[in-house]
Amino acid sequence: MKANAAVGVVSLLTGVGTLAFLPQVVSGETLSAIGDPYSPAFFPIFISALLIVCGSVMIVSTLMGHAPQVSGEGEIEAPLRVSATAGFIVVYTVLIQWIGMLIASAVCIAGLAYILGFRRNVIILLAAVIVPALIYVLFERMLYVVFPEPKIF
Amino acid sequence: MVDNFLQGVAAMANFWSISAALLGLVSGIVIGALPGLTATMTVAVLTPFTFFMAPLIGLPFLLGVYKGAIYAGSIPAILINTPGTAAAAATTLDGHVLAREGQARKALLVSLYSSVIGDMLATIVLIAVTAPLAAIAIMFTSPEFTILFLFALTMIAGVSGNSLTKGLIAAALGAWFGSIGLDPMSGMQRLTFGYAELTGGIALVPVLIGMFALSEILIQSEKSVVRSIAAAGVDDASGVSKKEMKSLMPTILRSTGLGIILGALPGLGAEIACWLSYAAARRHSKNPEKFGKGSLEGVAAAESGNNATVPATLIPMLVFGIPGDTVTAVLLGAFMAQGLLAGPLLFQQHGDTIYGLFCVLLLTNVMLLVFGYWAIQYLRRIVFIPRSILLPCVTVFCFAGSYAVSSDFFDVFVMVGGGAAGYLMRKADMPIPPFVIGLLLAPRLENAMRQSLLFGDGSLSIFVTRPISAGLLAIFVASLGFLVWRSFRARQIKDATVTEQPHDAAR
Repeated sequence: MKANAAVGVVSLLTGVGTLAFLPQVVSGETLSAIGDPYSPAFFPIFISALLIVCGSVMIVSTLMGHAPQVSGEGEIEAPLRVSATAGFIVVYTVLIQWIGMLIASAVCIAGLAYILGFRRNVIILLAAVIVPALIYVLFERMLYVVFPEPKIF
Repeated sequence: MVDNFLQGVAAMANFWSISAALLGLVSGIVIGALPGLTATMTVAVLTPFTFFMAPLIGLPFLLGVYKGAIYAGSIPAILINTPGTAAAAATTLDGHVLAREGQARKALLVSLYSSVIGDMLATIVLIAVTAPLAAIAIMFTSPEFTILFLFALTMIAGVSGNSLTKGLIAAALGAWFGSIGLDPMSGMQRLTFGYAELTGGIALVPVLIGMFALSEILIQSEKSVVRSIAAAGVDDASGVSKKEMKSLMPTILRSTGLGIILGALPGLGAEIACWLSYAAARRHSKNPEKFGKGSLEGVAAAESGNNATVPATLIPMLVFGIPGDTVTAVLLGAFMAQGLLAGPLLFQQHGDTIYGLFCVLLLTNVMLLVFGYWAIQYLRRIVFIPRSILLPCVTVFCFAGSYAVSSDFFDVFVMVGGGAAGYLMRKADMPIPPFVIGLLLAPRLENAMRQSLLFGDGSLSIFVTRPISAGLLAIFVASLGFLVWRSFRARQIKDATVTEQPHDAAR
């Protein structure tokens, strides 16, 4: 019920927000551009209208108890572990910029493996060394992709 | 067509193309055999590597991955009763029973032979129908493409989840994100919110990696990581006799036909084909009571059905630029990155490349047969690599791959955002395929729609005055009507069940 309502609200707000702030988000265009195929706002207006209609239908059907039940993956089975995983992914994103892709990747592999319950330290150590090394060889040496320079070195 | 085919053979008959296809196939088999790593996720994570290769090296690699991963999903399904990919879910029903009875090798061989036969026949159909279809599609102009894109999006929205409205919202949100960037006609900025990085639009591949790989990692992190699995061995000497294979042929042919039809329709991929093929095989079987108790027909039906969709999903993608399922959505991104704009003109402009890829599809079937037969004895070990060490390694590859797309760290943020959005969508039971396909089709839908209105002086009548467009519109309206009717019908049944339950309780 909450998930269905949230989907409806997100859809409605995206549609209404786009139309309300149209001049700001589409280079000064206004709602008078509706139906004008020359206008850059033509397609955003069309999509926003669709989002408003579908979002409204979703909200109304949820309120009337007709919305489909959220099944399968609806509930979070291990909220602590998921939050820790998501948090660590954010930390990894920041770490890449500060300590570089390779060291951050080693930290990420070790940290995530630990969060996910893997406790064989030798294998964790091997993965934390081998995978970043593989990434270095594949990307920097073979594909000539230069990863961002670490800020602290 | 024969000339084109021979040109294709010449284009791909080199060491690097064949090696890339083989490497892709082996990678696909290894990764597909690992429970939790899906075919879409595998193709998405490996796509950035192909940007640095020539089309006839990079694309054979990805096609090999796709084919290998769909086949290999059956390996853990048979050995540990856990499908490696969703497309192998129906294989568990009979495959694992056979394995527990000491016939794991037989089940794996039937799975291999059925997959190869189904895939080979579907590839022949792909080669036979795509060029004639493209010749018809070349007559399509903007109004026809507008209706076709709307039809594809509605179909995908209608069949991907349990709610048409949610599917349409997902498709519309995808199209909203797809319209970020510069207006194709005037060059003015739209929905960029002042970020210079967004003027080129949302980078497709990082979004795909985030939505399919990173969100999968978050979903997998919820599941129990420490578990003991009773695995069946494959050291038994059971094999498949010619007589047994002959008796399975009608099932394989029927399932292949179903797989081709379902694969060619947008939105219905291998995941649905395996169940429908299984159900059809059971209905037509002389021994339906054996299904679920170790029937070879069950394994053959599910596996030939799901593998037949692999070439079939390429039909709408190559001819109209409409992906048949999520993997082909990712493949379409890879085609675009290689400068191959899928659509009817593709066959005129890059005929040798496309026929070269068809040859790759045929060749990878032979490779799958040989490699799969040899590797069966080693596959048991692959399925036991712990997920809790695999997922961190995949995460690192997601980041490196996203950055490599254009060496811009903004793409990493896009990938992380895509992962978060994908996770939340899955939690809300909101289907991801309509979002991704909306994102992919938005620029082409917008162009077709605006051009149609310009040709028609702003009048919508252009969609009904042209015969092909009017025909497509009729099909679109009928399909939409059917999807809406199906939603109402499902609601009526649900309401009736809810009303009956208190009566039952009162009794």
